[in-house]
Amino acid sequence: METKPAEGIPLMERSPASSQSTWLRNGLPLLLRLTLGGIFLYAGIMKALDPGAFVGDLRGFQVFPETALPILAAFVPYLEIFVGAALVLGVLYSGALFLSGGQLLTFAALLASAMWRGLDISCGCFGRHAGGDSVEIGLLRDGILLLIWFALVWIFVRQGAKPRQPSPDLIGRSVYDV
Amino acid sequence: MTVIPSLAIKALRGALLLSLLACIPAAFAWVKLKDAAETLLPDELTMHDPKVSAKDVVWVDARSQDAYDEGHVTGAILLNDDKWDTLLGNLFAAWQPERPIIVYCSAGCEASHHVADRLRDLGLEPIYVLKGGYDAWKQNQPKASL
Repeated sequence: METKPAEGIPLMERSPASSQSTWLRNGLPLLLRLTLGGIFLYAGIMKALDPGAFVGDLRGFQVFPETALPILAAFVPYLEIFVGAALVLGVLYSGALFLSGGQLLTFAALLASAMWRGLDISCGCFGRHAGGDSVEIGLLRDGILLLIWFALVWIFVRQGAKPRQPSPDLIGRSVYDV
Repeated sequence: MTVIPSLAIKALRGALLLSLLACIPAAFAWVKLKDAAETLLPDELTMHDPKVSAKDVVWVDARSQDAYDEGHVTGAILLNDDKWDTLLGNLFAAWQPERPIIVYCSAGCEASHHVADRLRDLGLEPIYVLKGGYDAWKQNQPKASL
């Protein structure tokens, strides 16, 4: 007896090339933004758990005035948390991309300047609870995150610059609509 | 080509909104941080405490060897977790019963509290921790002596 396909479910034979392009179009950007957002969330939470230690980490860079340290130590972790959550959830996505890029570039500049001046400090990237990485490790990680960020910006601009077409692969709204 | 500027405006608007949202918990964290900065733990001293300027104090530097080599409190003995067993002898050579010990590290670090706890476990008393660490001491020194 021949089995008939259930009604309403279209039979779509996809070539390997087509599924590969769907993965590149939807899966890879999702993976990249979850990675970047997840790391921002984790970094923010770890710093917010011990803002006093983060004051010490910031002081170690020897670039901020003493009065600015508690303000930065209170604000930066929560900015990271909100940016990370926005990237993960795909809400206010363009704003989160903008801010994450700004933060990554600032961290890179800070870490590079600390390395240049030969400061023996921990990078303070994930707070004291997670253990302090060296400035070199922090800079390397920041570089990798910047590459992910550039890829996300490129995808965002490319998709945002094209007229949107309804796709059966997308459930609900795309992050690029937000 | 009007898409890019509109994306940029949307990004700026989103960034502003996210920053404003982050300001809400940050304000609470800032108040808490300020309160903590003004509150002293039972074993903590500030630079204004008379014990800090007493002549018989034994200073213990709980930072790394490199940080110690760059600058330390005059007469301070290096003692950190990395070389605890090697460095402990130097402290015992300098310390006498009833001589207060003041431990410091960098501002905002925990190493001084950790070293102070380990010294208390060895039965050494009285032990204090300098709030603000080496930075606080340095800020209170006349420029010429640095």
